[in-house]
Amino acid sequence: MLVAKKVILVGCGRLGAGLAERLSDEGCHVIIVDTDKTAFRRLPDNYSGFEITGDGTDMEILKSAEIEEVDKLIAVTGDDNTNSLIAQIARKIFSVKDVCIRVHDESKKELVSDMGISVVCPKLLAMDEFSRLISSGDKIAEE
Amino acid sequence: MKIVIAGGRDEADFLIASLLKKRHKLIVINNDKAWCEHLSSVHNIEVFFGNPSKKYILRDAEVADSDVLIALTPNDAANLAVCQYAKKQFNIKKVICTVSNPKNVDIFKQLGVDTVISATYMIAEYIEQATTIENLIKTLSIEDEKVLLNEVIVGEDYSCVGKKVMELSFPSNAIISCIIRGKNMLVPGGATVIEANDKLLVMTSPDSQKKAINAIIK
Repeated sequence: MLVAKKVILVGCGRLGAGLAERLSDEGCHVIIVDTDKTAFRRLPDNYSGFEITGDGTDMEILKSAEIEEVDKLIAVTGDDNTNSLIAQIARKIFSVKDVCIRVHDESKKELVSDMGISVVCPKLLAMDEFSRLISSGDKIAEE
Repeated sequence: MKIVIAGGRDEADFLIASLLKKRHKLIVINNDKAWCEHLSSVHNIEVFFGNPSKKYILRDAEVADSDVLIALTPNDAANLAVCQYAKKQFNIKKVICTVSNPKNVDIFKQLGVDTVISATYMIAEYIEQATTIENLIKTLSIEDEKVLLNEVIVGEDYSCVGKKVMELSFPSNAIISCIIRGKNMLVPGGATVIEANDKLLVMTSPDSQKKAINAIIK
């Protein structure tokens, strides 16, 4: 039998809730953490994972999310510094294998990139997409 | 020394005054415009307005190659970011920060912050040391609580009265560094006899504190 992959998600905003839905659809066992209980209303009705209300930078909360047993953690709270701190706790203290965070400020990438933490910066992704759209528009115009 | 003070309200205010008195060169960064104006007018220095956890703010404030950075914002995660930028990208030798959550003291040290200060953590440590023995009058910790200087006044019923220093069963890492007897101060040798009402200054490591104090009292 296949054991479901466990993933801790910190932050239940638009991105966190969306990821929680997708990952649990893909068969992951999701544990989502947010300081604000009402944030979990964003989760769809069919979401089957766990919800923990608490501060994701607090070791006790992370332990209650079974961080010692997971090998994936994603931090997508609205605050870059918080995501960076959570990721470093996960990597350095709990040795979580795959740690990914979202940061709005791309220079925050430099703080954690040497620790084996993957960083997603929506601004850079959007820039790539926009420039792709603009240049493909050129091609259409040329044709 | 060139010192950067990032964030903080009254604690920044107090530190600026004390560091200026010692003639250090300060770079002060604060996220609150009104507080910047206050600090600037009270201390007659330039204060940089901006969020210190942003790299471009630190760059514009020209913090590179400073000797020390002190992060005092109320947000622990922001303080860590400030300290890590300082170390990794601005070549600042020593970084210090305060944290609100006492659990972050050990975490931040592991993540490269040289000195982490939490008021709650310090109070807890202090109470723990102070309650070790009720007769302990004062304990002063030196070097990040690695060394404790304990002041003990010898009661008449203490077992050490009339004994030579070398007869006490002292643990290693502990020494009676000084005896204050009346108005005189003496540095004891092994043959020095302890008298009632002596004030002993006992230097110990935290683990040997209890044993050393017990050797004097019991």
